[in-house]
Amino acid sequence: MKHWRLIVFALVACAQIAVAASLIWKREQTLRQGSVWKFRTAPVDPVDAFRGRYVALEFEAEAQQISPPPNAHYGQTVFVSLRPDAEGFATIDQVLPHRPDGHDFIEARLHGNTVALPFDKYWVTERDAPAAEAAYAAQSTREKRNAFVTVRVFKGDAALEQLYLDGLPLGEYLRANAPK
Amino acid sequence: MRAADRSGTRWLLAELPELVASGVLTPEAAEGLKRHYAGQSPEEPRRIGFILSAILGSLLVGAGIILLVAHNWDFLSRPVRCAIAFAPLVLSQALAVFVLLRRGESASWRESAAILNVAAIGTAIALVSQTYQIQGDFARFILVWMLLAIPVVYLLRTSAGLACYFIGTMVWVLSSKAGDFFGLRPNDLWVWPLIFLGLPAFIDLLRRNRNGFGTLLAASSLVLAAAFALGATDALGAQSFWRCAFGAFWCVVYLAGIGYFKDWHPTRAHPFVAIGWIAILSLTIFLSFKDSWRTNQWQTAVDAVPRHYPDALAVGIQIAWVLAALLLGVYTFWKEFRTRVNLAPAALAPVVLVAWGIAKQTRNPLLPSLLINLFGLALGLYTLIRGVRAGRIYEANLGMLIIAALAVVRFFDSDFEFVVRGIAFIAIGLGFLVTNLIVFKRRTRA
Repeated sequence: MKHWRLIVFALVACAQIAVAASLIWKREQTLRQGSVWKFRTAPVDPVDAFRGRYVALEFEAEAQQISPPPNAHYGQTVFVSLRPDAEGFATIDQVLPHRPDGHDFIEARLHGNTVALPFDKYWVTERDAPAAEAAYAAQSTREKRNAFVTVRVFKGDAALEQLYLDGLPLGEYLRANAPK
Repeated sequence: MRAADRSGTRWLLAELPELVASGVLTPEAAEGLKRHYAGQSPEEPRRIGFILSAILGSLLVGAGIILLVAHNWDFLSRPVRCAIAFAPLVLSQALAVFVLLRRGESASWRESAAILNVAAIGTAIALVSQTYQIQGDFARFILVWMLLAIPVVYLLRTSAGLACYFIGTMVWVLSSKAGDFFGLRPNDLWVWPLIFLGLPAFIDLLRRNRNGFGTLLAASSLVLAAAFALGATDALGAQSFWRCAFGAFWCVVYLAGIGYFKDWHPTRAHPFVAIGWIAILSLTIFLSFKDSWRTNQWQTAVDAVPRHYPDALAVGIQIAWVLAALLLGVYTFWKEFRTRVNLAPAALAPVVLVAWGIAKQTRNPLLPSLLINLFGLALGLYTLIRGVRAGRIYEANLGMLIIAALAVVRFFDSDFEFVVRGIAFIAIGLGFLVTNLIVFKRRTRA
């Protein structure tokens, strides 16, 4: 009686660990083998509410008009291949209903004639969140387009690596601009 | 012995010396009473207190762990943060193994170990996601969490864990609006299989301890989850039919309270009876407005004959609830006919069904609202008369309250003069006074 409970629990415990571990495994693979793409953020709406412990991100690529695959419906999962623009930032090349060959594509959701990228939050520490949010809003405006993120892309998975403000990683930027 | 009877027993035992002193009881009789009640598991109250504090303590520790790790220490490297994410999970698993091996008979150990493990699963996934900037959708996170938690509920036979699971399914259906689920759209109907996954554990709980507090906790969570699941189902199925489906749902809750849980407490009804009353009355008042039957959904395609499989399934679930309420109503009527329970509120299920049928046929909002008004009035009068006859003040006042509430809301959608409204309010007030007077006199006479 006791033994079968223990055996089943051992399986359940393995499953519990495996789920969290599989997240790490997949991400580590993307971070190690993926190619780096820079995504320029879209201007921030200054009245946007405070988001708590993450910076809410929007990207210029998400405003890019694309031609959706035939018979695609709103919210459908699509595969987006990328191409760099003149300044080296990522733009959407093709939107496909199935997995393309190669490594450089992202799984995203179709929103009419645009796509929603699968990363829109940049988690920061509780202490840094308000300063990070304010700095991001100041560096990503219509006049100043000084914010971008680096993303590792590998076979559909997109791992957000770093948020850059004015050419510096967020942490360094906050330290350099900290009130003295 | 029921948990709720114990305060009465304590009171009786404290009264004994005085009863003996005043000569009401002989010392032998008092001694006999003392022996009788002392023999009925004196350890039980302490055990329940211990279980409750163990659950509360585990929850606090679990929440504390979540808060600590959610702080997202950026001065730690990724591997260290991952190790911290896994630490509570592995520790809680070790505790669960210890409980399974050595403390399997102790409810407080089982409940605590289960709660800690369930909290640790969510913590591990959430912290790994933050560390790696993984942006899954919230519904999927909840789903994975609940699917990993449900085996623990069975292995550790925990009522608090089961309650958490049902609440989890509710959160899932509330957050599942976006996105595919196993490639099916619409996806909300999957909440029913999720709820069913917890049902065998719930039935086992009912068998072991029907009137326990843990069972009440799990049952209340189940009602909450099923209510939200039914709401999502109504949005997919025949949309105008929500009136019947929800009417039936709350009738089932009420009937379960008066029938299945009738020995909950000698003087107090099961909380389901109160919840059922409140929901049935709210729905009656809402549907008594003419505007609540004015809808263009009668004509929509979904409402006529659902075309696709998920819609048809949703309609099937809606109809199943109505059938369940009707069958349970008949069964309870047959079983409890001679007892003094009030079955009248459960008549809402068939009445709303008829009103819905009339509304669908005639497209005229007046007739169904009139029928619901008549039902409310009859329910109020019946409850009032029952209360007066049996000398139960609360029941008589409940009846008056139903009639008064109906009268008050009727003033909102009709344009009577102030004089008429004034007279009506005076009449209702006098009704309250007279009712209480009659019941009070009857009681003093008896």
